[in-house]
This record gives sequence, structure tokens and C-alpha cells, in this order.
Amino acid sequence: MTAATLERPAPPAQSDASDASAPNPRRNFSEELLKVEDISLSFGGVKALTNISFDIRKHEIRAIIGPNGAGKSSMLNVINGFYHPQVGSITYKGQTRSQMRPHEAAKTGIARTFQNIALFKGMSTLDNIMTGRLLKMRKNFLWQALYWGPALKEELEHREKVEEIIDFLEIQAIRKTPVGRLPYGLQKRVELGRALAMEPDLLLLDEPMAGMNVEEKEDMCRFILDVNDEFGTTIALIEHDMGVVMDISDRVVVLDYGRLLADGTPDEVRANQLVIDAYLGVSHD
Amino acid sequence: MNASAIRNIGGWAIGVPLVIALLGFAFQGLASFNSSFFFAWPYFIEVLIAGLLQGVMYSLVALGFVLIFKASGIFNFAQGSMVLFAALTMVGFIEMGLHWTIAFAITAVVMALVAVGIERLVLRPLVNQPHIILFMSTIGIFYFLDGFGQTLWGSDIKVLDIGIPKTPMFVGKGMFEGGLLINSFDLVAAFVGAALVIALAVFFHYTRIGRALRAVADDHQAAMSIGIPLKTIWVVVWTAAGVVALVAGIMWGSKAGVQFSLALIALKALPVLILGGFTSIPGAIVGGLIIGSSEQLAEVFLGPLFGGAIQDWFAYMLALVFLLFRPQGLFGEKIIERI
Amino acid sequence: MNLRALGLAALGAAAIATAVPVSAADTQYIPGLMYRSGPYAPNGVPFANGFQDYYKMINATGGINGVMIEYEECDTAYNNDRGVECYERLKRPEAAAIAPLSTGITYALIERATADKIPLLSMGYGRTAGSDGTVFPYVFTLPATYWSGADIIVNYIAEKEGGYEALNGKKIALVYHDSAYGKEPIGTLEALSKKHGFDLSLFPVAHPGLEQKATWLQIGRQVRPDWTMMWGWGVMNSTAIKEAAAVGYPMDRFVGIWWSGSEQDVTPAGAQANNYKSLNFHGTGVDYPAIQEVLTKVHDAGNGTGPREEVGTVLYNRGIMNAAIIVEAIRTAQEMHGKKPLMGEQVRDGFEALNIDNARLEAMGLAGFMEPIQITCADHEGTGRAFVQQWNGTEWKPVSDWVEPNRAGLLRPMIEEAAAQYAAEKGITPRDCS
Repeated sequence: MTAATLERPAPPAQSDASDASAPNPRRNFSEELLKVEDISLSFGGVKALTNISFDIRKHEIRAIIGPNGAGKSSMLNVINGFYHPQVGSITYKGQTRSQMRPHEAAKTGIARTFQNIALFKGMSTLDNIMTGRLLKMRKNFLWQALYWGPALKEELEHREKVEEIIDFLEIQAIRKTPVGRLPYGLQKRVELGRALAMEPDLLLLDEPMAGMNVEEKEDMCRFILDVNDEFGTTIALIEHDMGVVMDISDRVVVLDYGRLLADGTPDEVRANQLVIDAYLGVSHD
Repeated sequence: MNASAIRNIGGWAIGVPLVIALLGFAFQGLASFNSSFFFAWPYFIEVLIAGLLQGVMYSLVALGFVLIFKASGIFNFAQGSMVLFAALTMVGFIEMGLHWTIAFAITAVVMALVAVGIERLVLRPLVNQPHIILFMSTIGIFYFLDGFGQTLWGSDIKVLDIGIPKTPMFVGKGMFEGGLLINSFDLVAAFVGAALVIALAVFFHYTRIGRALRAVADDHQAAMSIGIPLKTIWVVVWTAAGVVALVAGIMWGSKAGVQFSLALIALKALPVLILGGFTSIPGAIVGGLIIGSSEQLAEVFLGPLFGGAIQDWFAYMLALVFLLFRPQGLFGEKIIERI
Repeated sequence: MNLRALGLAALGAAAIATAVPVSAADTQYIPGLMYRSGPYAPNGVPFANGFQDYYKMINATGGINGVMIEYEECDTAYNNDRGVECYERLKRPEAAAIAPLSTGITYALIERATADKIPLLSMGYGRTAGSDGTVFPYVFTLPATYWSGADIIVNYIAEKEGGYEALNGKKIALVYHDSAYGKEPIGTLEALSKKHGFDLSLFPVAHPGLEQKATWLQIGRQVRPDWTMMWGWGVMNSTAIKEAAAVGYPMDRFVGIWWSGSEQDVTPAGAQANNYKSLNFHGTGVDYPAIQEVLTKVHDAGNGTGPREEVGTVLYNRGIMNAAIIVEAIRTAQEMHGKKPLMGEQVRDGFEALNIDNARLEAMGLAGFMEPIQITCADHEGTGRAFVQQWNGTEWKPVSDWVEPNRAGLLRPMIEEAAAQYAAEKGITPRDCS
């Protein structure tokens, strides 16, 4: 198989599991949801991103790959407003701006997960996912104080939505468990649940399968594809596991040392000599 | 309300009087063994009431800490100097000839500005930094406010009098000889404290800000990613802490005069926080009541055993014992850590 | 806090450098361990200002026999460690005297100052045993010690009760700052309690003294003493007065030592403080020629260290008195060693030969301000006299004559015993003063 040429030299065995899952039919997307143009970001003289431009189209699964330190997470942080690039522009839902703000990103439908899980450790699974509904709650203060009438109705609506997500992610058994006690794989799933509770238009996943075993990875792949299919959510993900990336994504952006190396369908990227060199040239891990 | 809550309330309703009665009998026993101890039930109750009222004063200071700890997970070293700064500012405005209510309103605005300033200049550049860094920055804020306030308003001792009655009251004269002494000033302070707590509880428990607060305290990044406006939350919380500091400053300031020592009462909030939990508003109140009453009882009835002046270290010792058995405090959230 | 103290000290040094434009070689150096920061600053500041203003006045009127004063200040924040630091920074062999304005710091400096041959003047505070010049050649406690103060208050109480016999069975309480300072009078009071048969109850108050509720519940509701004395400082004083009022303790039976009797102590308590009493050993107000001169030569010249209104307050005037005594000691020493800048060792001789009689007070412009003081080789305290003053809501009014403590019959033997014990501990051979 051709994917093998793209594997990092070290552990080639990893990709086998995901190869087993059904290959994703290549689909066609035309409507642009988000476009970054000419983005440059530096931290006190150290360049993290240089002149990056690419787009994300509605309903697609877009992967951002690259060796460690390539600037993948920085890119995600630029998109949801954690980092503010010095140069460039971000066009989201037709509106162009030089930087995003986290609060605004969340309000306009961008949700995300983190490489090193960022959950509210003291809260239960249910409460964590419930926080994803925070922006959608309207009635508050006195209504909630009285726990009565419209507020109660609203609360119930939110609960219903959250229960749906719990069912979807198959985590009914841990609804009441404080997330700090959950194993890593389940925490990742809860984090996904919280992002889904925001009913996002664009879902950013930062290494959703890092540190998982084969079985967990399969589950996660399934959830990502289902979310994309059933809710029509656009997904941008960073992933190390090359096999997974090639299988589930529609288009791939490759970064190396903060520069854009390649952009295209998995097949195009796979054949790109620059990409092959970048992965084989230096042992990055 | 569920069964466990009822059980809880029931436990407190029975447990508290029981503990008080047991303490009383213990002291009584002590007094009957050793004539250098003195005990009388009305006096015991008097000390207890005075201690509880004193405890409210501690709670007032502790509340400010809890607010900021809830919102940012940091122990705000500067709370004490905020108390001093607020009181100095208010006295400054009163000395300009303003009525105290107007001075209060203006000072509250000043505290809001201080909150905005702290958010802009200190917290914003430190987003996502470890808590210890934020804690260190509050030490800086402490020295700044401490010096700035005294530069602005002078370091003289200032009188703050907003007309709270200070005369001793005697109640229940028919029941006991001489009646029970209750300090009217402390009583007013207790009412103010209670009102403040109710207002804060309603504000933080039943508004979206309250929910957001818990999330922010837990994880800045995650909170931002679900759309919580971190900066707004911080400004709101620091403003609230500033207003709490102002109220505490008025209460303590009209008791002891407005001067540098006010910044030191923050030390008294520490055992209260350890006891009540750093994240719980009711915890700050109950913690204050327990610390206040037990240290007064200890000072009065056990003090002679140690040569007096034991109340300070007694409060800390009590807190330490608590720390051993319930590190999260009486009302704190359970500390869950996957090992 | 260190940074702030440094900043303040630097500011102070800069102010002095501009205020006293004289070259160092022919000036008399006087250091000052003051406190303008920390919890006790409200009390420390006016004292420090009076202390400094007096030197400015002396310089403005021709110095001490033409020798100008070079004054340098360091902020101790009433903290013992900082006090020692300050001392090490300011000490020079030519330092005329050290005035630490803290009993704790005085204790910490006795050995150092003696070794460095710098007179240690603890005016109305410090280690009482230091009054024995045979063991403590460099320590001076004039014009009165805490033991004298304790004896004077008991004397005053006895007079009010109708004689010492009436003290038998009476209850007297002592509320004290739980530090070397507050503990100083306990020994004397215990001896007096044994002698006159009154019950003594002790109530320590922890630093800084904001919390006295339990203390005053015990005093006001349990012990109910006939009289209460206070050895307090800073915020402890005003808090004590408020808490005493809160339990309804009668103010005219509440007597403080001279450090518990300033405007700063009573004004925060408002009308509740009316009739509260304390000791004092100098006059208040500005109706003394020397103080008038401070006003005209220093304040009117725009050179005042603090605000003009504080001139004449208790602690400001005490700073004046402290500085005046040091200047007199230097003047006396100049008669012995020449009218030039002197070393600390030489100024010590001046202290020991100090004889401020009424004529001298007149010449100093302080007639009626304080009692005459005479110091000898063996006796470094003097008469130990003080009087009782009472707050009437606007000012301190003297309510007794000068009271002389029972030094010969009671205190002096106790002092000598304590000094002998100190000498034995430290291996000091007492001087022969006869």
C-alpha cells in the first residue's frame, strides 16, 4: 500500500488498525466556510507560522498534518482566537478579520478539543458536557433562582440535548462520574461531547486519537465520521497517525517548520515529493 | 431538595448545639477542678455570641478571597491591601465633605476601575500561566496598592464613622443577673455580612456568570473554548472582590480606625478559608463563625492555661487539624486527582 | 516591604541631604532608627518628624556651639530584625547616640552598641535594668523607665482609692502588647501586688492588637477589675479603648502608659475615648519657646518634615524632647572634649554628666516642658517622674502633679538585682562608680 511510504520511519505498525475501517468515499465540496490567508505568527522573534494560506470548506473533514513542531497546534489556536497572528487575515462565514477572539469564535460556532485534554476535572461528565450549552442559555438570574417556568423548561431542553450527545458517544455509564477519575480515552470522548454540545459549525480536533489504543482509535474514528455525516459538522483535525488521516479526511494540509508544504487530497499529498522528504529526511519524533 | 441535603441540615441542626453544649460542660468541668478557671453559663453564652459576631467580621474578609479563588484558582495575596485601599479611598472622599453613601458609591466605582486595571495590566498578559505565577503577581499588587493608597491618602490614622451605634446592649436581664452583653456594632456588622453573603450567593449561584465561574476556575483554556469571556469574568469578579473589600474595610475601619494594620487582618482570613474551603461562599461564612467563636472561647476559657494571647495560633491550629482530615475544607469541592 | 523601606529611606536621605547643606567633616553625626512604614507608622511618623525638626531648628540657629548636625534616618517598621539591620547600616564611631524607639530593638542592640561605643538612649522605654550605669555604661533610660511608670500608676490608683491600704483586695488588670515592651512592667507590678495586696490579672494582646474582643470580655464581664492599666502601642491602643467602651468599662479607671496616650490612640475611638487617662512626661501644645522656634525657623521656612498641624501633639513633642536630650548631651560633652564634632564614646561622657536643671531648661526654651534631669555614673534614669493626663475629647489635660516613683525604696534594688544578674550571665564586671 502506498501509505507506507509516508509513514514516519519509526513505528510503521500503527496504521494497520485504521486501515481496517472503511475507506471514505471522496466527496466534492465547493462552499468555503473558513479561509486563512498569509498568516504569520511569531513569539518574541521565534517564527511559529509563516505565510500560511488555505481554506476549509463546508461539511468536509480537513486534516492538518506535519512533524512535531510544524505549527499545527498554533494554526488551530489562530483559528479559534487563542493566538493572534501578526500578519494575515481570517475569513470565516464570509467575514474577514485579522484575528479571532475565543469568545467570538465560540459564539459563531467554532468548538474545539485539546491535545492535552482540558476538561473541568471536578465536574461530572454530564456537567462538563452541560457547560457546552452555556452560550445557548438565555433565561437566567431570577428565573433560574426560582427554578420555575420558562427557565425550567429551558434547562430541560438543554438536558435533553446533552443526553442525546451522551447516547451518541456511548458514555451513559459514566454520566455522573467526575471526569478526573476517567481513563484517558474516555476523557477524550467527554471532551468531544462538550464540543458537540455547542452544536458547532466548525469542529477543531487537536490530536483526537493521541495516546489511544487500537480499539479506542476505531471508536473515535467512527464518532468523527458520524458527526460529519449525521450533523453535517465541518471538521478540522490534527493527527499524528498517518493511516487514520489518510482514511478519514477529504483534504490534507501539510505544514513543516511553520510553512505550508502541500495542500490537496490524501492521494495528492501522498505523492508529493516535498512531503515524503520532510517525513523521511529528519527523524522528528 | 433531596434526602442527603435534609440529612445534612439535620446533622448541623443537632450537631452544632451539641458541640456547643459539650464545650460548655467541658469548661465547666475544668473550672470545678481548678479554681484558676472561671465558668458561668451566661458568660459562656456571651463569649460565644461575641465570637460568632467576630466571626462574621472574619468572613467578610474571607469572602473576597473566595471570589477570586473561584474565578481564577489563585490565592489573592492582595486582598488585605484591597481592604486598606478601599477604606482609605472612602475616608478620603468623606474628608472631602461627601456623605458616606456617596463616598461609598464612588469608592465602589474606584474599586471597579482597580479591577479593570488589574485585569488589563496583570492578568491579561498572564493568561494560561501556572497559578503560582498569578499568585506571585498578586504579591506585587499587594505592595502596589499598599504603597499607592498611602501615597494618595497619607499614612495617618483616619477616623471612619458612618453612624453605626457602638453602645453595649444588655438583653435578657430577667433571665440572668446583669443580662447578656451584646455589642450593637457587631450586631450591625453581622447583618451587613449576612446581606452581602445573600447578595453574592444569588449573584453567583443563579446567574450565568456563576456557572462560568466554576469553569474558569477549573481550566482557563477550556473555559475560553466554550465561549466564556474570560476577561469579562475576571473584571466582574475582581470588582465584586473589591466591593467586598470595601465593606470589610468599612466595618473593620470604623472599629479600629483606617490605617495600615487593616491590611494585616487578611491573615485572619487564612484559617477561615482552610476551614471553610477556598471555593465556597457558605464555607467562608461557616468557617468564620467557627473560627471566631472557638478562638474567643479558647482565649477566654483556656487562655489562662497558656498565659493568654492564644487566639491567633489557636485559629491556625484548628485550621491545621482540619487540613489533616479534610484538606478541601468543610464545604470545598472534593479534590480529584488521577494518580 | 524592604523595597519600600529602602525607597523611603532613600527619599529621606535625599531630603536631609538638601536640608542640611554642610560638609560631613565638621558636622556632628546623629542616626535615627525611626518607622514611617508598617503597622505602627501612624505613631512612628509624628515622633520621627519632631525628632528631625528639632535638629533642623538647631542647625537653623547656629548648631551646637557652631557644630552643625548631620542626621540620617532608617526605617525599622518597628521590626526587631530590621532594626538591627538599620543599626548596622547607620552605625559609625562618631554617632552621637542611637534612639531605637522600640523596646525590642533596644534589647537587640544593647551588646552591639556597647561594643561599638555608641550611647543607646531609650527614652521612656527599653530595658529597665539598663538604668544601672555600673553594668550598662552605654545604656540610658532617662527620664523614666517602665518600672517607674508601673509604680506611678499604682501610686495614682492608691491616691484615688484613699491610700495604699485601700488597695488591699482591689483588682487591677494589665492589658499589654505581647512583646518585650509589654512584658517589661510585669515584674514590678507583681512585686507591688504582693506588697499592697491587690489582685493583678494579666491580659496579653498579640501583635498588632486588632483583636481584643476576648480580652475585654474577660475584663469587662468576668474579672471586672477596679482599675485597668495598658502597655499598648499603635492600633492596639485605639482598639483597646473601643473594646473597653464596648463592654462598658469606665474610661476614668483605665490608665495607659505614656506610649498609650497620644492623639492617635484616642481619636479613632471618637467620643468613646473621653475621660481615658494615660501617663506622660512632657508638655503638649506649642506654647514653649523652643517649639515656637521650630515653627518659625523650620516650618515657616518651608522645611518642616511633616504637616504643621502635628506640631504640639503628644508624639511630635516627644520626638522634640528626645532630640533635645541628645543635643544637651552633646553640648555637655563638648564642654569636656572641645567644641567640635565628637565620637560616640565622648558623647557618652556628656550623657553621664548630664544635668538639665531649670535654668538650663529655660535656656533651651523648654521651661515647664519637662522635669529637670540629672544623670550620674551609676544612675542612668534620673528622677523617673511622670504625671497623669486625661483626654477630654479635644485635648490631653494634666490631672495630676508630677508623681515620683518609689525608686529608692523599691525600684532601685530591683534594678540593681536585674543588672547584677545580667552581668553574671554575660560575664561583665560592673564598673566602680563611687
